[in-house]
Amino acid sequence: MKQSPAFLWRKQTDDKKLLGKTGVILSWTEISVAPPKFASSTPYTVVLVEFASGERTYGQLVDFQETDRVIGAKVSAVYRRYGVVAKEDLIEYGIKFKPSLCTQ
Amino acid sequence: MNSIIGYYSTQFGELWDRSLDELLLEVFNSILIEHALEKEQIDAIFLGNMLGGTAGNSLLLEAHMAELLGIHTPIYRVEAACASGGMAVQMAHEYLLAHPESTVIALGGEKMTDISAEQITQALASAASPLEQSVGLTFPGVYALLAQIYLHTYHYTEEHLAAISVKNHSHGVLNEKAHFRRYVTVDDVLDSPYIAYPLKVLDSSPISDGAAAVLLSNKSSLVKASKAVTIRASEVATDTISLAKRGKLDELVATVIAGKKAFKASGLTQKNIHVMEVHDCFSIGEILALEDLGFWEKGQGGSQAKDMVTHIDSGNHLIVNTSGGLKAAGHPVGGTGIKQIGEIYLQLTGQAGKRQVKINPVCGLAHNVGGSGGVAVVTILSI
Repeated sequence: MKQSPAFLWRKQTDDKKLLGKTGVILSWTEISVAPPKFASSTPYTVVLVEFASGERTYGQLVDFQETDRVIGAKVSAVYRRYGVVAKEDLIEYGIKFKPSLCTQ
Repeated sequence: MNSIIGYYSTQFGELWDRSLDELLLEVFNSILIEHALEKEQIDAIFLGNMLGGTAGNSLLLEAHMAELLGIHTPIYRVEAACASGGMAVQMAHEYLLAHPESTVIALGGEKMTDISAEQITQALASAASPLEQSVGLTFPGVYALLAQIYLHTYHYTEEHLAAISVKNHSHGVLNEKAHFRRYVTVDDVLDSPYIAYPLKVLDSSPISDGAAAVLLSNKSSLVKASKAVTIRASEVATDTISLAKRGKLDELVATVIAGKKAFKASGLTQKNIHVMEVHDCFSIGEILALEDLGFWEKGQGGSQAKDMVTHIDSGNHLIVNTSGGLKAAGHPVGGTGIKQIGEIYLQLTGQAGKRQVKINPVCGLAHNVGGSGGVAVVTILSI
């Protein structure tokens, strides 16, 4: 669905607070059947992450190897492009996670 | 005392030649004809439907129904995602508690096959939180996160999940209205493609068209003249829409709360329940349901599932999902909760045909979940 610029602006204001934070993978899944916006990216991995503060969020996992994609692994929040939009639509950015350098 | 005095369902499946209007009309008219009632004798109608707005671009279904039926009766559309049907019955029950000597219909239905798999995936994902949707988590994806935590915490494998689908498909073979009437093996399930790891196509309920209706009454003359079951309890509980906001990730708290309230209100315990329809939208859902409703201890569900202890031929005193469950009977979202309660009605009144359980069941339970556990409805019926 097409997102309004105001919706994305509000969301990205919140995303900013998470940048650079590290957390632990509580669960993960690899999506094979996706809505139209993500259909060209399948399969992609989504992780449920808990930060040290106890706060939890979700994001796609990027730049990883199979051994990084396990429950309990440390990840850190990075800013990446989300989904494929039409040529004239606003490009959406958001939080994704990559394996933390501190792993092991 | 409120009773369910009738049940009717359409065929569930890919019904290319049928519209949602036709499905709803079929169940409404059929249940009236079976009970020799006129539409004017129905005091209110509760309509469970999730996707009218997103997939069908149809809101104000109350007026669609009124036009279809040619009536001016109060019609209430109930939306609680996959629990829309159970919630419609719950609200019908509440209506009857406030209106003596009344008769109402709770019906639900869904038309899901008119749009593509990607589009229906998006429509169903509207029952996930905005953040879940924005990172590309689908509805199966949210359940997959739950499944991963369960398998990891209690040291089970995908094979344990697969047993749920094997059992429910073998029940579905006995249900002439089921979407799928064929056996599957554990290997079939394990070899089917992943939708959202670790959940595969055969761990998942299908995209189905269909509708179902139950007739409820507290009019003593009508109840006495019908094959009736008593509603002993009908309870709802809610929880956060986001999985991330929940305290526990190996249970659905809404199910735990609704279940406890229903057992308390009914004065019954788990031992009294002989037949049960639980919300197996994905195989993990049935395992969590049996644990969260207090039938299995937390963490035992995987091994109990693998042993198929609730199979109709198990010889045990609790049989689960005789309809085939959402997995094999099909999952026309708004119709599912109605079908579950209708299946318990058929079992308790001895009308379940080939899938009638051998023990004479006295009490049964239906468990309907909306979203990933944001809503749960637990209904307990007895003869």
